[in-house]
Amino acid sequence: MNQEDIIRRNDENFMISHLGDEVVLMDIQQGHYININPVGSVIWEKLAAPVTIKDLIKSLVEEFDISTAQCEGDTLKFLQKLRQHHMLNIQ
Amino acid sequence: MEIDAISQTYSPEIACVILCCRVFIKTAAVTDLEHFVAHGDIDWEEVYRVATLHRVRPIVYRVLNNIHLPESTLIRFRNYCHALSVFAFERQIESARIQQVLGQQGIPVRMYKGLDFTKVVYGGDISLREFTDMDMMIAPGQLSAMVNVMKAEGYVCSQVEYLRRFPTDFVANKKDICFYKRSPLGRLFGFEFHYRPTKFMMDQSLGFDELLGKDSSPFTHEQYYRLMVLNHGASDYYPNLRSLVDIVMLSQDRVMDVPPKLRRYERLGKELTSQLLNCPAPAVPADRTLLKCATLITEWQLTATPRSNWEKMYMHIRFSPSILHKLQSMARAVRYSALPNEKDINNVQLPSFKLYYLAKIIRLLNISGRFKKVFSWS
Repeated sequence: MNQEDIIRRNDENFMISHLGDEVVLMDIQQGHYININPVGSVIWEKLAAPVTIKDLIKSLVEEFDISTAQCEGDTLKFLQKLRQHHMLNIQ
Repeated sequence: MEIDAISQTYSPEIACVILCCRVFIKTAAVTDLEHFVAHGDIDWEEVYRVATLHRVRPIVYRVLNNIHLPESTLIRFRNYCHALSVFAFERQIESARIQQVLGQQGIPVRMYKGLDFTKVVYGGDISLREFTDMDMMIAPGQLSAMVNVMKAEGYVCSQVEYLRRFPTDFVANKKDICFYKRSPLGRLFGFEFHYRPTKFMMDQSLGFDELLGKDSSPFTHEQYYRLMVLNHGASDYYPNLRSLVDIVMLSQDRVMDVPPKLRRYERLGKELTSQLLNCPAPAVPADRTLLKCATLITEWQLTATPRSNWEKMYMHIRFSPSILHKLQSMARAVRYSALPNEKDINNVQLPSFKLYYLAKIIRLLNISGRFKKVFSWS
């Protein structure tokens, strides 16, 4: 994945439930449960519409008041996990 | 009713739960709740208990979570809601599977209430509304075939013998048949197959077609509104806050209509949502009986009193608009009390349904139990 990629969440094969700040998903085909913590849930909500990775990181830096380098590292790790679970579409 | 008045007269905990419901349906502001929580001496264990009785734990958790209380305060809510989400997912998958299996056998069924209702009315989040069983609509003529399929799928039902031996009486006296099975993870799946929306104690002239029409497209808010006025109102007399929140979620910012036979029940719901959930006062005037019943139900709701079957029967009589209707309801209550059920039919083999009326009297008086007691004592 690179910073110019346009990404969007793929929730087609998931049932979703919002629990306070968290999101719980179930992969309908695999039968797996996935719990996304409050920070991950913020990213998940931002991925409802297509967005570049660069813009996503920028908005997170503004929202959480953290350094760009730290935000970039953590966000890319999280996006990789979403990708592994087929929860991310990359254009 | 003012929240402070509820808090002082009843308890801060029921006031808190009601205020959460009001915030959820937007008849109160989050700041009202923040102010109330900051200035009230609230027992959070009691809030959980009251929310459980009113079946609004997911709503209370959703609202309280937004005002950033200490995490430990809401841990029981969080755990429950997490379990509900997981169970809701599993039920959704099992419902779809059963629907498919029955469809393959030429038995059309349609999911309604429960999961489907939550998806339509609560913005698609199936864990936002407490529910227990999965409800399906089925034609009465398909019951026997459906029973065979459900048994083959490992489901058990205590009413099978009743249906097999006395199908006409079963369909006339019951509105649904229930099946249960433990999932591999030990959770209990329950299916209710409904062939009529009305219980024995109710006016039987309203069927699914009158309420929902014959359109097979997904249910709309209008269809569910009619169904829930019947279900929560005419059948159960709005037993908890969840029933009132359902009605508000369906009708808020929409113009709804119900069949004439349901108008008093709709008016009762409006009276209760006005008093308890701070919704606009109903424009249509109400009769004295209706207002007295509304006062009684409000009291039950504020004291979080679960209602027994006898109290439901009493409400049917009390809510009747005239002496003649009350007498009819009383006669129906007497017939209902005398009706044999699956316990009687499973207990003893008798050649005719009428003989089971006698079997029921024996069971209720526990005559055989007394004989056994005397025998073992001697």
